[in-house]
Amino acid sequence: METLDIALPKMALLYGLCLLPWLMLWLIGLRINRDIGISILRMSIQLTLVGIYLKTLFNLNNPYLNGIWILMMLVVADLSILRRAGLKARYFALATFTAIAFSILFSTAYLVILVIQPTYYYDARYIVPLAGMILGNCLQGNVIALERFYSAIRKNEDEYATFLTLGATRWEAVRPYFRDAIKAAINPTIASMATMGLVSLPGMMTGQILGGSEPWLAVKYQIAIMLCIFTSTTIASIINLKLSLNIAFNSFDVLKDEVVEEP
Amino acid sequence: MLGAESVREALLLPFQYKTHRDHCPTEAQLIKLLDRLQLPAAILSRASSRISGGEKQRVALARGLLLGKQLYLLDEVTSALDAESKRAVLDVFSDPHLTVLSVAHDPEWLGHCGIIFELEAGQLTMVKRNGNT
Repeated sequence: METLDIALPKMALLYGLCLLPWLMLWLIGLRINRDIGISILRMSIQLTLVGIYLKTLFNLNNPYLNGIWILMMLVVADLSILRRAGLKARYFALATFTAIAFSILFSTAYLVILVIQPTYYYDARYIVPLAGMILGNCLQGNVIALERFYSAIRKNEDEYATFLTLGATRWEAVRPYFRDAIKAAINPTIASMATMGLVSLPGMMTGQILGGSEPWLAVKYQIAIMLCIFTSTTIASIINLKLSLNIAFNSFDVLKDEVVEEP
Repeated sequence: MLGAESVREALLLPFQYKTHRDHCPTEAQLIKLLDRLQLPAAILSRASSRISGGEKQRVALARGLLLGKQLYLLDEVTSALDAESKRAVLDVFSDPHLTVLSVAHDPEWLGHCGIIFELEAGQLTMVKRNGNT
């Protein structure tokens, strides 16, 4: 079962679909049409470039090239997590990279080597989209974990100091905020798993069905990817926060001002 | 208040930590100390956010005293207390085994201090030295 192609003139027709919301936003006086235009243009250019790159990547199917692509995704994700969490990359880049690299490589390798078992483990068709999907979700979780944790420490500075003065070690004093941050980081994935298939059809499954896969196969892949996302988000968030503790606090267990971006 | 739901949890919070885990006070010790600070035993089960400012101040002091330290650093420790509670706190900290370094403006509290320094325009001057201190 082949997926029907969308010819270029039809693609132009698709862009025409956006004219209706564009007009409605303009009529209600919401002047964000320029932003919308830029976003649509950026999406189109970025995805075209990715399309060209992935086509080349799949054709060559070279393990080193696949590895470099995953490494690049990890570096971009690393910097993006820290920027969005309001932490300075020059202090935390290595810790965050270690956490996400370990969790992504672990769960992708587990899925590809132990479960899917393609002819070549480095097959770009499997490792690139799977690692990308897991990383994308893991990124969200890590942003939430870091942002929640360091905002809570700053917001509850007095309470945190009280814990320390009452004899808590750094780990004991940060533990309530640590637990809350991890809970916030993995909650979206847990909620998403609980409602999957009821509220909406998940993206990967929909993509596979549109791509011609049997629904049953698409369901199995969707379950696999969700379990990997949950695993990697949890592992990465915990390792990331744990590693960051050694960087963010001074020898008196006080949060260093210089590691946090000014709001 | 101070990371705990009830007054009992607030008082026992330090004993969750490794440093104090082996020295958790008994119920009788808790009640005895509360009584010395003019606090009823029933306060233990009350929500720490629902007690008055003076009660909060004495619960915080009780928590510090339960740790059994010899040196206490106190800042305006009687600021929210009525006369009776203030006398109870003064009595507890008059223990000769305790050393207290405090910042205070309360004349009654200052009357019980062994050595008083006055800080004015950045200059620290000794203004009183009592007895054998």
